[in-house]
Amino acid sequence: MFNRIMCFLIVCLGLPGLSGAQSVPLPVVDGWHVTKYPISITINDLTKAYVGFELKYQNPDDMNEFVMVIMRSTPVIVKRLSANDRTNITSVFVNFFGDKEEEELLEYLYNEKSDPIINIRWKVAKDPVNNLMVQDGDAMIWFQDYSGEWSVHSGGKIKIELMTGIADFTGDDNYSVGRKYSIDGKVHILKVDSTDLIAIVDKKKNKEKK
Amino acid sequence: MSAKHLFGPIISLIIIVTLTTGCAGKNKPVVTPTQPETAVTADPLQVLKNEFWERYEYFVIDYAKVNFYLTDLGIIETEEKIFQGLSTVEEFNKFTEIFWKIRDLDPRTPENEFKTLIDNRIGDILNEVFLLQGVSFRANDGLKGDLAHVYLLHGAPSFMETLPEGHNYVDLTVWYYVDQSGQTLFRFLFYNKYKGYTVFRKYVQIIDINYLFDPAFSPLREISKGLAITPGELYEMFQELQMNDPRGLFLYALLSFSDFSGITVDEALDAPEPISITAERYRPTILGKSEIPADKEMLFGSRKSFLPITLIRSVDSSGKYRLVLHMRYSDVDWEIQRDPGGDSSKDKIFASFNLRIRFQNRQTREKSEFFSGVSLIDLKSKYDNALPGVLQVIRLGDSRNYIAGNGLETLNEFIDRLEPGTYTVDFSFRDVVTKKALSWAGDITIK
Repeated sequence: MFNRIMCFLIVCLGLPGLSGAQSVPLPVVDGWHVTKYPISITINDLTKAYVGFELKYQNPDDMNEFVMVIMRSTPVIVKRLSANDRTNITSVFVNFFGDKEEEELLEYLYNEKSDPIINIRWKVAKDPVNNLMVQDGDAMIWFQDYSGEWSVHSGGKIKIELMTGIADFTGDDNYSVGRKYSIDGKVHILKVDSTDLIAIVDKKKNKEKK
Repeated sequence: MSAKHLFGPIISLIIIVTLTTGCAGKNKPVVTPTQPETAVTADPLQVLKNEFWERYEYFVIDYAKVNFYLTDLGIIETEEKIFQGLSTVEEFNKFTEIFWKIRDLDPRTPENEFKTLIDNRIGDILNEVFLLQGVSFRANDGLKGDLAHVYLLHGAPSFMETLPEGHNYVDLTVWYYVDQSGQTLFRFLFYNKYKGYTVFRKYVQIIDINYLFDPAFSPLREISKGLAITPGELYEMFQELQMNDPRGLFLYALLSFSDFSGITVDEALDAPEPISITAERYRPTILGKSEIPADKEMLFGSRKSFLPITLIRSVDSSGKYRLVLHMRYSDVDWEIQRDPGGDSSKDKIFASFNLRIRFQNRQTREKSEFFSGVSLIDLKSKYDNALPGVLQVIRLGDSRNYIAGNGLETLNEFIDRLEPGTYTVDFSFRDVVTKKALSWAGDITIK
C-alpha cells in the first residue's frame, strides 16, 4: 500500500524518481592528504564572492590515486575597504583585521554551510612512451544536481562555464557571478545571489553620490 | 667666498641663541608625569606614570574625547587627560589594561601583538638601528625626538636617504613609506637646523613652482642655512639641491607629504586610533551570510548550503508557460511557530523566500525582471508525519511582482506578456533567513 501511494505521487508529479533525495556511496577519503581552496569569484577590485571549496585528496597508500571534491556553500559577497578610503594611517592593520575576518568566514562556511556536490576519483600512471604521469583509466564522477539528485558517471567530463550577470538591471554592467557545472544534462550552479549583488552595487552608487 | 657665506654662520648663531631661549617654554610635553622633579619621588604611581609616558606618549590620544574608559573608570575625555587624572595605582593598572586591550592586533591570542610591536620599536631606537646609515636617535633627543616619533608610529621606512649639508641647506634625511601598490603613503623630511633633526611640517597647499622662490611662502626657507630672504637666494638653494638630489627625493618630500590627498603630516604624527575601533569602522561588508536570531526554533533542511528543490518548467493545456517548484518538507528550513495556547497539534512551520527571475530575450536583448516574496506555512504535524520523499507543489504563478512600475502583476501575467522567443533565464529562490537557495539558469522558449 505504501509503495502504491508513493508511486502514485511520483507519477502524478512526473518526476524521475525518489532516488535523488538519497545519498549514493561516495569515495571514502579519511586519512588522505588534502589541500583545500575556496572557490572565489572576483566581482570587481574590491569585491569578491565565495561560492564553495575545492578539495584535492591523495591516497597516502597509493600516491597515484586522487579524489577531487567540489563543495558548494551558501554564497557570500565580501567587499573590502575602498582604496579611496585608505586615508587612515592604520589601513595596513585594518586590512589585517579584514583578512582575519575573511578567514573566519571561510572556516564557518566550510564547516557549517557547505555540501559536496561533485566527487571525482582518478588514478595516474607513468606513460611508458614519454615517461610523464597521465590519467590511468576512466575517472569516476559522482554528481549532485541542483535538485539534490546524485548520479554516477564513468568517464565523461564535467563542463564548467563561467557565468556573468548584471547587477543593476537598468544598466549594462556585466559581472562575474558564478560557475555552472554540468555533465550529461545534469546541472549545478554556484552563483552569487542577485539581490546581494544589487545591494553591493547600490552601496557603490550611493557612495559615489556622496 | 661671498659676503653672504661669511655672514651666514654668524646669523645662524644669533638665531640659535634666540630660538633656543625663545622657545623654551613651548616645548611639549607640559604634562606633569614627564617633569624630571617628579621622577625622583618615590611615589609608586608617579614612577609608573613616568615610565609609561616616556615610552608610549605618542600613542596617547590627545585630539579627541574617547569613551573606551567609561565602563572601568567612568570618564569620557581625551586619553591624555584621563591619564593625567589617574590618582591611584589601581586606576593606572585599569587604564593600561584597557589602553593595550583596544590596541591588540589579535584579541584571540594571549600576546598583545601591538604592544610587542611598539616595544620592539623602542628596542630598535635604543639600539640605534640606523647608525650605519648615519642617523642616530640618541643624538636627536632619543625617544622624545621627531625621528623616534615617526619610527614609533610607523616603524622602519621603506627606504631612507641622507643628504649632508650644502652651502645653502642644512643636513637632511628623508624617510619614504610606500604601500603595496607602490604609492607613497608618507614622505617624512627631517632637517637638522639647530638642535637635531626636526620633521618638516610646513607644507603649502598649492603646488606652484613660484612659491618655491617666494620668501613669504617658500618651504626652502625652513631648510636653509641662512635666512634666505630673497628669491635669488632661494633659487640658488634650489639649484644646489637639484644638483645634489638628482632623484628629487628631498625636493619632492618638501613639496608633497603623501600621494594620498587626505593624508597630512600632522595626521600622520597624531596618535593612531586604536585598531579595534578603526577595524570595526572599516569592517568588510559581508552579504549572504545567514543570521538566524537565537530565539528562533528551527527545523533545518537536508542540505547545509542549498535548497534541493526542483524547478518544473512546463506548458499548460492552454499553451502558456508556467513555473512550479517541487519540494519535500525535509528540503526546506522551517521556523517553528508554537501555538500560543500550548496545543502542540496546532504548532505551525513557516518559511519565507525571495523569488527573483530575470529574463533576457536572446534576439532583442530586452530584459525583464520579476521579484516577489513567497511564504509557506503549514501545520507542524504535517512535517512530522510526512512520508519520506512526498513532494509538495509550490505554484509560483500567483506571486506578484514588486518591481516598481509593474503594477503588481502576477508571474503568470508577467510571463504571458513576454514576446514569443527564446529567453535566457536566471532563476533564484532564496530563504530569507538561512540564505539557502535554489539557483537555476538556462534558456526557455516561449511560443
